This record gives sequence, structure tokens and C-alpha cells, in this order.
Amino acid sequence: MSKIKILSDQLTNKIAAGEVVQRPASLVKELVENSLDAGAREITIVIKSGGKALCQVIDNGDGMGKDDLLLAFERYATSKIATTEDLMAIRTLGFRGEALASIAAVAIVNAVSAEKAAESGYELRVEGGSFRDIKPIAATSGTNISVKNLFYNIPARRKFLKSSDVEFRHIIEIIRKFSMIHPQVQFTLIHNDKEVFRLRPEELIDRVVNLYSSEYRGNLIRVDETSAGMTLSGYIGNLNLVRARHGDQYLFVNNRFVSDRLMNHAINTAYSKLISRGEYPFYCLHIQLDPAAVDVNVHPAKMEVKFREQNSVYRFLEDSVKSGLKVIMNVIPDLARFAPEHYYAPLPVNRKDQPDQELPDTEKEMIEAQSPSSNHDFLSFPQTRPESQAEMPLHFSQGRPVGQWTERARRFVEQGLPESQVDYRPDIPLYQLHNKYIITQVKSGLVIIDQHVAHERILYDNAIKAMSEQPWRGQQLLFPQIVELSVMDFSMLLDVIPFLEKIGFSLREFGKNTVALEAVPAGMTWGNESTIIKEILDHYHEFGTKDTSIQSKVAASYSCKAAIKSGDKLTEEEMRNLVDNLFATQNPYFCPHGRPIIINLTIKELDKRFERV
Amino acid sequence: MQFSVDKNNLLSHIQKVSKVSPTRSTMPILNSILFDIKENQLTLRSSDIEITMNATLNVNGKEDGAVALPTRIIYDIINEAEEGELILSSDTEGACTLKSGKGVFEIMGRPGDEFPSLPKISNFNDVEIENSTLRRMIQKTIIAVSKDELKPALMGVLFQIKRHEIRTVATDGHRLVCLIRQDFQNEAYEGEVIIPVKFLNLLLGYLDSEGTTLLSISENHVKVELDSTVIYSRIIDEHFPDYESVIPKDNDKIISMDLNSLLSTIRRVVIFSNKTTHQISLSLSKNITKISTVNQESRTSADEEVDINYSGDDMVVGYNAEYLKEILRNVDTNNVILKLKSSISACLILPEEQKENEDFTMLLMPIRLNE
Repeated sequence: MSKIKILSDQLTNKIAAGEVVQRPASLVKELVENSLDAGAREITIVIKSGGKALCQVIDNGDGMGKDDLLLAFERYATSKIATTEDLMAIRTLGFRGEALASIAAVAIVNAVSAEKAAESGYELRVEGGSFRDIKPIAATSGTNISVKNLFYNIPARRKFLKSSDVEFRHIIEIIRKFSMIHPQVQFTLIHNDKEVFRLRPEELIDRVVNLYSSEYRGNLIRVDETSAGMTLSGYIGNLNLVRARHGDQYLFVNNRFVSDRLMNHAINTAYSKLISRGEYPFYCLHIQLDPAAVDVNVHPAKMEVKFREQNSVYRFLEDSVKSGLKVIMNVIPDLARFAPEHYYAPLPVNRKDQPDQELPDTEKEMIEAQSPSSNHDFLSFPQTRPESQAEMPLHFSQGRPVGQWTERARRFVEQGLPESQVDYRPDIPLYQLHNKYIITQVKSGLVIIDQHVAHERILYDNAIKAMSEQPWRGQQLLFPQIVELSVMDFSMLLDVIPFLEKIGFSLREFGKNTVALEAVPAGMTWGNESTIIKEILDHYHEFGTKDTSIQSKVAASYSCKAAIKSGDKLTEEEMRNLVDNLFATQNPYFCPHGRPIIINLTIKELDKRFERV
Repeated sequence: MQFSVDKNNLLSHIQKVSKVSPTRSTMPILNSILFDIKENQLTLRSSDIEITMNATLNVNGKEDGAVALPTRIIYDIINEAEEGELILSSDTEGACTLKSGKGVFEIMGRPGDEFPSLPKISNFNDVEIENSTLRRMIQKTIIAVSKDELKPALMGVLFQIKRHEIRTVATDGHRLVCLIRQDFQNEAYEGEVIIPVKFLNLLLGYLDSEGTTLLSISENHVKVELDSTVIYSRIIDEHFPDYESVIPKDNDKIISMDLNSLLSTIRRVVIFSNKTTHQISLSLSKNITKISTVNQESRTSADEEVDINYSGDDMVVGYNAEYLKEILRNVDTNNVILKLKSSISACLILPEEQKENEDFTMLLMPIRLNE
């Protein structure tokens, strides 16, 4: 008997399901796509336990007859394409004919559908990929598919699902994308029997405002451009909507949400003079072009596309956004002319052109020390951090080989500053350089301390201590701050509230997606408390869902936002205090994000530079 | 422009207006004082855009004209100049010559028309206030004004003016002071304005102890005329929070105690408190309160008891000692009254007895104590 066997349909479907259905959100995505392809004007999504117990999508689309309903759950069965030529001109969201079959293989599915003209509909039950029964049922036109107990027959996969809250957030994000590109469709989302939102058919701008908050209305810039068979429409945000995280950036190609690094890059380039690194403008843009000019059949999740004329799409996108931004650009001087390097004398080593050239480590550190304003070129964040294992967002590692930094960081930590070198004494003066770095003398030479990350490290350690041992006090506010949040931020906030409370915040639920901030950590002089909460959430979000504990993520977010910024003037006493506290922390060499805090320049190195030895 | 004037006469006026001149500004012209001569009258003007001050004095005018001279230099040279007559002259470009005794000093100024003109204001409403009242109303409330530029509405004192009542209110979101005076008569104006703290500080320096002051309020500006000086200030065009709703009415735990012994106890205890939070706690029990603090980091602590008049339930409540000190120093009776409700709600701090026709209320938010 041969060892190789043709797998049964059931098994192949289960395997295929792994590609299509990764989590409840992908399931919702497939179902909503079908509803939209069926011309639905109203779509209701019912979720229980983050989609692990139930994902139900009810639409008022075309519906299916008995035969269609049966066929729909077969693999490679679809009404959307019929010939190879169709594949070249896809206008529907789905087309592969895999989704329903895959879903049916890994969950208990109940589908009710009725065609527009039909008097009654049919109900089909599928369990683990095999049909149970189909029977006529009274139903209004449209389709209602409920998917229960996802992965009930694949315990290994079920185990990998995250908490209900996390899964639900993924679902919100999916629906947000659909609702943004289909503002004419009504979307209702219900989670655990509670209506999360109901978006009535409306104009795109109203949809964006309803999905975010009313402050968006005055800050959106309309984009409408047509060129060579392509049209771009939608909204971009002005500088008030720039946030500290990715995410609120939506690009649609022929009604499909895509995440395309190149196209994102085009948009960011258009913004580049207005925003700095680590800032992300809002956009919701829709490119429409001949379906033949774009291939969506690149990946089963259909998040990626291939443009035939990639460069012209890139240019079109960049130019369109640029012209939309003219409104803002006109009032802002050309920042490019004020590049900081103009203010500094040329460096002995031509580091600008070959930043990654193999220099001896010590030399590198010296260069960094000499050119504080442009150290971003050099001090890209390490990909692996010695302290926390949270994933670094992609942009942080741009243009720099990852391995190099890891190696550098490792060596730095290993060698560190021997105890005896950190011998700075209170009578030795401290200097603040460009309101950004603190310089002081130690036995072996001099140390340069980045004031922001140093303070961040101190606050981080304190916050962790507050969370695990003695909680901080909160100063009650006389006028509680009302903070309005998006659905997603609100749900995220619920995760972190217990930790925020430990460090002195006090928050109370105050209506739908709104909280009242009643106390802030005592002794913090922060200004606008409500934006702090939002910034902490942004920062927290940016950490992604990696394995570090919520506790350390909240602590890192808090400390980053609460720390003094580079550019803040410090008095001698403040500097002294900062340095004292820094050396009292667990790891004074790296901040919670993994950036170095201290750079050590030894006398030996200085001697070498001055050619004394 | 040319004129001559006695040194001390000019110096005293320059001293006044130089207080408004910003030491550093993004508009270089603001770092100077405008000299404007019309016949025998010299007008000096300084401005930081928010506040503009005009002072006039009589001189011996020879030629009309205006020049803006750098504040620091003109102040220093006139301060150091020999007693007697000074002669100042300038051309239209702003080049200025000062002659004093045997000295000749060249100063490069700017043409006078570059200096910002006086705010154009119409429809002033005049409100007359007794100097002693105005001084008290400003002094009592100014301690609670916020320094936070992100909350512009709180960076000034709210004046609420009615026909027979005037109120000043200030808050920084953690504490609040409200002073109401009923011994006030004004037929012309009813309304409210937020007046920037810098203007009020300036005004305090000029108020005589006797007499009255005319506060002229327009839509965007407030103006005060004091002898030969006129000060204009922008009004903070923001919405002051609804302070009345946060002043508790039902605080039923009432404590009265000797102000000085409380203050001196706090001053001792605060030495041991956390340097950022300045947190101390008051443990209230019958007729005695323990004031204590623990600083985890430096492992120091302090405990001291103060006699009080109190018959309610035991309670512990935390405060920022620096705030509490400032508020208590504002009380001018021998005993102070504290009215509390719970350890997380606002505490009212009142003088033992109100002055006649006056209602003086202070409020402090606690620091949450995590039991």
C-alpha cells in the first residue's frame, strides 16, 4: 500500500480553514464580505464572547435559494466568478469560493437564507463540515448565518484564541473598515446582547465622525482626484488628527481594504514635512481603478494587492494627498531647509552617507555623543530588547539591519559601566546640553545621559513598584474630565483601568464609550489630563498584543507620557535629582523601550581622539 | 523727536512701564519702550501684547515724533545717569542720542510706528470698586490661579459683577477660592470676565490703600487708569467652569481648630512627606486629629496631634500639604473651620467668622488614600 494518500475533503477543508479563518474577526470579515457582495443595505453583526461563542451576520441582501445554499458550503463554490477571465476583472470582495466551506469545517454553522421574490427561505445546518439537514423556514429576504463554537473540533486552535476582549477588538476593527468604505450601508454591532453601535446610512464624513468623535469633523480634508483611469476619494486628517500610533489609516482599493506598505509610504511621504517620526496621520482613502490593473488574488486574506502600474499608482497617491495638504502646507515654512545638521560643524567621520559602515563601537558612541540632534539616524531602536520583550513597531527598525543593534545592545549591557565608574559626586557640576542631554564627569571620563529616557526609566520602575506593592495616591480633581473614546479605545481602557488605578488615576464609566477622569497621580503636573489618557492608550496600543504583561505595558506607556521631554529646561537641582534617582533604578542603562540612557565616553577614548596616544 | 526732561521724573515712569516689557519675546519690538512726544507731553508705552501700559508725563518738547528704545539699555542708562536734565533726540530711522551732563550716548532704536498701537476698544463699562475691597478680592483668590497653559480659562481670576454684589473666583482644578462681597454698589454693568493673573499682580502694585479704582470692561479688554498711567489687558476669552456646582452644600463633618497650631504642625510634618506628592493625612477622631505622613522612599515618617473641636465619626483624609498650607495662610481669623463629607470629596475651608457683608469660601480636593 502506498504511503501517500489523497486527503479526504473534510481534512483538506480543515487545513484550508487555517488560512482563511484565523480568529473570529476573520470569520466576520468573510461573512460581511458575502453580505456586501449580495448587495445588502443593512448588516447586523451579533457577537458573543468576542466571537468565540457566536458570530452571527444578518443581512438584507439578495439571499440564496435551496440549491445555492447547499452549494455555498462546498469548497470552490462561488457565484462570483465563473471563468479565468473573470479572475482578471474581480469587482466583488470574495471570489475564491473557500470561505464558507472553511468556516463550516471548523464550527457549527446555521444558515438561513431567502431570495427576494421567494415566499419562504431555507435553513441549513452544517457541523464540522458535514451537512446535517436543510429544511424550509419562514424568512424575510436576505441571509442570516450564525457560526457557533469556532474551532470546537480543533482544540489546538481554540487554545490559541485570545481573550474575548482582544478578539472583540479585532472584530470592531474589521467592521470599522467595512463601514468606512460602505457608508451607505447600515451596520449594527451587538456584543453580549449589548448594542455597541448602530451606524445608519450616511455620508462618508458623517461615518468617520460617528466612528471616531465629533472633533474629527472640523479636521478632515476632502480628497477627490482623477487621473489616467484612477480616482482617489475620501478624507485625510490635518495635523490635529495626527496620533502616536498606526491604525487609523485606511486605504481601500476597489472597495477592498488593503495594507500595502508601498502605498502607505506614498501617503506618508506626502505628509513627511508636516509630521515627525512616530506620528501617524489619519486617512481614509479609496482608490478606484480598472480591476484588470490590480491583482487581488495574492493572499487568501486578500489584504495585499498587486498593482500592474505600481509606480504610477504611487505617484498618483502621493500627488493627490499632497495637493489635499496644500491647505496646511502653505502656512508652514519649508522645514526641510532647517535641517538640524546645518547647525553643527562637519564631523570627522562622514557618517551621514554611510551610517551603517562598520565603525569600531567606541567610535560610534563618540559620534553619537557629538551630534545629539541627528542621533536618530544612529540610534534606531533595537529589535530585541534586554528588558521587555514587547514587539517593536516596524517603523522603528527602518533602514537598519536588525542584527547589528541587537548585538550592540547586548554588548552594551554586558559591559555596562562597572560599579566603580559611576562615582559621580554631588560637588561635580552637571551640564544640560541643548535642553536634551545631561553631561557629567565620572572617574573614567564623562557620561552623557538622555534626560527623557532617564526619567522614563525612573517612572517606569516606580510605576511597577506601585502596581505590585504600594499603590500611588491620586489627587482628586475638582472638575472631572470627560474623555470620549472610540469603541476600540474604550474596550482597551477597560483592560488597563485596574493598573491605571494603582498609579493614582481614578476613572468612572460615564455613558457610552465615555469615562470621567476623577483623579490623577498626585504631584504630577501634566496639563491636559484627558489627552494623557488617550496618549497612554495610543502608546499601549502601539505595543501590540505581545506577551509582556499588561502591567509593564501600562507602566511603560505611563512613564513615556509622564516623563520630562527633551527640550525641557532643567535646573541644576532637578538634574541632580534625576541622575541620583536614575542610578537607584534596576537598569539605568536602557529605557523600557530599549533605548540607551547613558553613553560613556572614557578619557582613554578622548585621548585617542585628540591623538595623544 | 527731541525733548528734555528731569532724570528722576523720567526714571520713575520708566520703572513703571518696564514691568510690562517682556524680557524675552518672539517679537523683538516688544523688548523696547515707546517714547512718543506730542508738544510738551511724553507718552511711554510698553506691551507684551496681552498687557499694554501707557504712562504720560510733562517734558520740554522740541520736536514731535516717536521712537522705540530697548528697555534694558534705556532703563540702565537713565538709572545711572547724573542728576539733572536729560536731552533725548532721535531721527526717523530710530537712531537716538541721549545727552546727560557731559555724557553723550548713542542708542539704536526702532521707528516708533513699528510699536504695536493701543488696543482699539469701544464701549467700556465702568465699574467703580473701593481699593481696599479690590485688593482683598484679588489677593485672596490669586493663590488658586492655575499656571497650566493648557487650561487658559483657569489662568485668571473670574470677576462676576452684579448690581449689589461682586465675586472673584479662581481655581486650578485642585482647589478653589471664592470671595463674595455684598457691600458693593454699581448701577452700570452686570456681567463676568476672566482677568489674567499678570494684570492683577501689576494692579496690586499700584493700588493705593485709600480711594476707589475704576475698572473699565469692554468685550475683549479691561482697562484701569491710575493717575498718569493706563493699563490695558486682554480678557481671557474662555468659558470658566461651573464652579458653583462643585462647592458642596452638605458637608456635615465640621471641625474647628486653632489656625496657627495647625499650620505649624503641618510645616513640621511636611518635611517628612514625599517630595512630589507632598501628601499628608489627617486622622480625625473626637476632639483630636493626628497629622501624619510616611515617605516610603526615604523611610521617614512624622506624626503629630492637634487639638480640635470635632464630634463626628472617625475619618482619615489625605491632602497635598503645600496646597493646604497656602489655603490656611489665606485665612485671617484665629480659628479655622473645616467642613468635610468623605475622604474623596471636596473639603470646605472657612474662616471662623465671616467679615461683614462678605462670604469667603475655599475648597480643597483630597488625595486619595489607598487603604
